[in-house]
Amino acid sequence: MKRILNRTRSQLLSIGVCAVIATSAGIAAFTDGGGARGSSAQYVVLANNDLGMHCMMRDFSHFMILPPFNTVQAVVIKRGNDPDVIDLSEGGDFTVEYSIPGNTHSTTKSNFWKYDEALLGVDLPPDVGLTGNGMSGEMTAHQHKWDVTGIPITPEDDAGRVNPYQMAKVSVYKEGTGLVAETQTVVPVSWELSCNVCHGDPGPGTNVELDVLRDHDRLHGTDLEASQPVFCAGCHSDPALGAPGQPGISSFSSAMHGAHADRLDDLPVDFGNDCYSCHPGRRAQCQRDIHSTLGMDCVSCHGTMADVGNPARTPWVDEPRCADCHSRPGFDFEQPGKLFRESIGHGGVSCFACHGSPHAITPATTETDNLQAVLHQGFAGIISDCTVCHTQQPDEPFFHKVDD
Amino acid sequence: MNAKHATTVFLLAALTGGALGADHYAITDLGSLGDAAVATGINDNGIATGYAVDLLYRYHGFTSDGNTFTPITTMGMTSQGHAMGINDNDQVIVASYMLGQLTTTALRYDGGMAMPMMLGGFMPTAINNTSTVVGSRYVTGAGGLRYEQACSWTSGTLTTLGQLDGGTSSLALGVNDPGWAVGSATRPAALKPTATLWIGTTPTDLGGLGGDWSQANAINNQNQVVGIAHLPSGETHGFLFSLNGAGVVTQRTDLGILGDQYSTALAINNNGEVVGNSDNRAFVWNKGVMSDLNTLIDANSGWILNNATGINDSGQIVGVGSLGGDPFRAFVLTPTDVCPADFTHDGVLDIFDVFAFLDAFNAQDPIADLTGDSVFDIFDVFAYLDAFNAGCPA
Repeated sequence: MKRILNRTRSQLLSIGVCAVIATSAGIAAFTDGGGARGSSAQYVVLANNDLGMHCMMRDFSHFMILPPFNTVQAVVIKRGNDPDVIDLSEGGDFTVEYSIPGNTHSTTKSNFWKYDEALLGVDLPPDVGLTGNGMSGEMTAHQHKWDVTGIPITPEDDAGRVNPYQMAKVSVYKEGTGLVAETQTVVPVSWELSCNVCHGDPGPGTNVELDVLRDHDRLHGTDLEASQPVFCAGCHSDPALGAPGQPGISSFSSAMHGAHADRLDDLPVDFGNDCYSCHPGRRAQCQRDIHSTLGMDCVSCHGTMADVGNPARTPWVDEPRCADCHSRPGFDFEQPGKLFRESIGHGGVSCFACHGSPHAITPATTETDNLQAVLHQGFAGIISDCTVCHTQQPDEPFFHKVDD
Repeated sequence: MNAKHATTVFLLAALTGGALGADHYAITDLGSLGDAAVATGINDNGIATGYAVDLLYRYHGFTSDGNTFTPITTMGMTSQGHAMGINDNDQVIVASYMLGQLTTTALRYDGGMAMPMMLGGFMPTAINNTSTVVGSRYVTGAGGLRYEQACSWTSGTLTTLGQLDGGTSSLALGVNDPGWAVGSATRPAALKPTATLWIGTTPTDLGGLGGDWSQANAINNQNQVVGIAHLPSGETHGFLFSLNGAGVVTQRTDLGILGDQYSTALAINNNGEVVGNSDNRAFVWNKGVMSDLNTLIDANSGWILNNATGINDSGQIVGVGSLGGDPFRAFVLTPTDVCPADFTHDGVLDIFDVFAFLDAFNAQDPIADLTGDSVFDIFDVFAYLDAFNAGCPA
């Protein structure tokens, strides 16, 4: 489909609402044009990563916990007095594209594609992820949203920098019109899986991953060292990978968290947050949201490592819920049976569209995670300016629930 | 007949040919801070630079001559220090930034100086021998979106480099001594970039190898450009493009691959030797031949060389590999079978070496001062003849 770039420029800006804000952090001045605020733009798109952080291995030659796999979700809204979410029902007239400027290829930055067949039994083309998607392309329309899964992004960009907060551009094109909306969102990824804190001695000739496999062989009578590369979820079920595991063997989450829960007192380094002993991390802050600003940490929502490793818990499914802490008369939070990242609310808009990704709930501590809100409403935080989607300030009070 | 021709005739008459030989390398660990270390470049003085990660996952720039590892201190727990390049004046450029923030500060550490010179708010990627630094910085585009745009810093002035057809995203990744910059740029509405040359601020699309995208990573003083390009087959290969004096591509060379997946070319020296990696194996490419560097080091060294990221004019190569199974270790390779007459560094003594010596001699390049007395005279020619006739070590 040939797309014709046809950008409509706004002639008037509501200066009071659309005031330019330039902060010492270098957030850009807001100009007229594609941003929805105060403009005549017919559409607005809001996008976010589904989890707030995706972990991946730095080296796949020994074992794999997680592959390069990232997901971006987007909500496309037709602005108006009564805005409408553009989704699968009207998807045929629209194309939503994604790209990650400054990071266009991954094969040369990771040995995943060298070991993919040995680990997973699939020989993926270069720069193509497990769901067949690459570093740029088109998103898929669903009910209420669009998404792309399995983007095989690594933390290393095309200039050789290791940056866990690279940004994707999401562009919406309408048949016969061209470009109608754009936005930017963080595609978070880190290979800061810090097994090295305890496994292996520092110095030449050390191999952290081998130490891990040898410990597993010693403790559990396996022979993983001779079976490299090892797909951990081949035995330990992992819903994140759709891996059923083996009967009688604990889930990967239960095995890992359960095995290490009583070892936190032995940590040789104080990370300030014990979870960052293994999870990204001391440098790539997984939790960088309003909750962390208010003094909460991982344990506040997820519980202790022992809680997370509880064999009765289904990992990636039994997760914290906003309603566990938040309550407000007349407000709904997650939909029943669904997590924050899956839920919709006001006007059928996905919760993430206004609030950001899990672990980066706005206002985040990072400039990059706040960029989208600044782009659309001029300030960081929850998308709370009604005119982002409404062409006029509604008379009715705002409802924070699914039903209108 | 001019002096150059006379010298050529004289040399040809005196040559009796030489034995064939091949370069091998001694490998040295550049050092680390306890975790990963990646070398990003090496200058003609044999000083390598790169970044190293400590046990708290803080990134630090470093320099190393293979004996002394010198960290470049970062400026805070969450800031990163990536040493991105070094020139022959031992000037190191470092990108210093706070994770999650768009602002990057370019720093230049001059040889021996502890305090850096602050160049400005941009991400530096390369520096040439006239201290010009190229890189990129975030700007606000149409609609308020933030984009990285290629830029160049010279003598205190930061200049944005031009975009292709009014596009937005661009990166400058390499610069030669005449100031030609290379990198990539994305046209409006395009999802993927194309290799780009900047002469001054004017961009030129260098194209690729027939596929969907390309990126130029480095350029030498002979205006040879290396990078990576997508092929119609879906593979990605390293490339070498030769440019004329106007920046027009006169020859495109697909460097090929070692295995069956990909290759990328990351650096080129002024002798036309190219380094990079193919299927996770470091390679050196010269005159049509891609050699796996793992076959050119001691097989019992314990090293597996995964990526070669820099090469100087003496043929020293830096990169990253694993040692004893411990991954992400920075290394430097130093040619051991030095053959003084092999001026093309291809392991073969032939007329091309003679021409290369004559070019260097006539240009009064120090590499042609074989007597080491800083005088370019007949005695250097005699020294070259002796070396040529002696042949190369087997």
